[in-house]
Amino acid sequence: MTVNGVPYEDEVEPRLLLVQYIRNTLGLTGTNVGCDTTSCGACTVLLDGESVKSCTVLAVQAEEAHVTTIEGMSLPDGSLHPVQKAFRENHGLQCGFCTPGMVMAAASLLKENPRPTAREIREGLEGNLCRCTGYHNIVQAVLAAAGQQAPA
Amino acid sequence: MIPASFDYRRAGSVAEAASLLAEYGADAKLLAGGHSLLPLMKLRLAVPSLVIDVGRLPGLSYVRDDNR
Repeated sequence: MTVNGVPYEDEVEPRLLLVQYIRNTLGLTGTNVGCDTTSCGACTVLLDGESVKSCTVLAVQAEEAHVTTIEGMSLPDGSLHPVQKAFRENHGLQCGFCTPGMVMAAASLLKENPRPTAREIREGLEGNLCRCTGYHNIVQAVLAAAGQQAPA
Repeated sequence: MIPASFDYRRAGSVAEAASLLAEYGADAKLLAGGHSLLPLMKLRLAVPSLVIDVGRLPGLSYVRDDNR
């Protein structure tokens, strides 16, 4: 599979989860394991451009696929992806544990719906939990990333 | 959590998936995306010996409403 543009080839057991492959085999630890039960979305990555919870995808399912993790979001010149920038500017994170997954899910949402309403953002990110309950600023950040003025 | 060991086959066609299902019966499970099956497998509520991946079969990538 290709991860963040880099091709990898490994022989793995069928039961190896994609998140384990990303974190343990490739050493890309920006993708967090939160609940490990498909509830929290902390492990969200893009699989061929679509957001998936990587604790619930087998590594073998991603054979020959393109995976993007949070490490692959920054632009080639090293600057932050617009969604990452908006999270920072709008304080869209508190402890930061959910943030990589939130950014990946938000980027996927904006690809499908470039100008979502606040409600559509809340619905689009419903599979991603923030235990700090910092949802308000996350929604503001996604609105800002979509180039929309956040309502007060 | 890690599922119990199983064999993995990616079906190349609907016919191949159906024939594997017929051969393995209740020991096989179909895998589309996995967001329902894999949590069950992690909890050992499902312990298939064979997982048949149909996620990339073009013939199964849509639902068509033909108004019947």
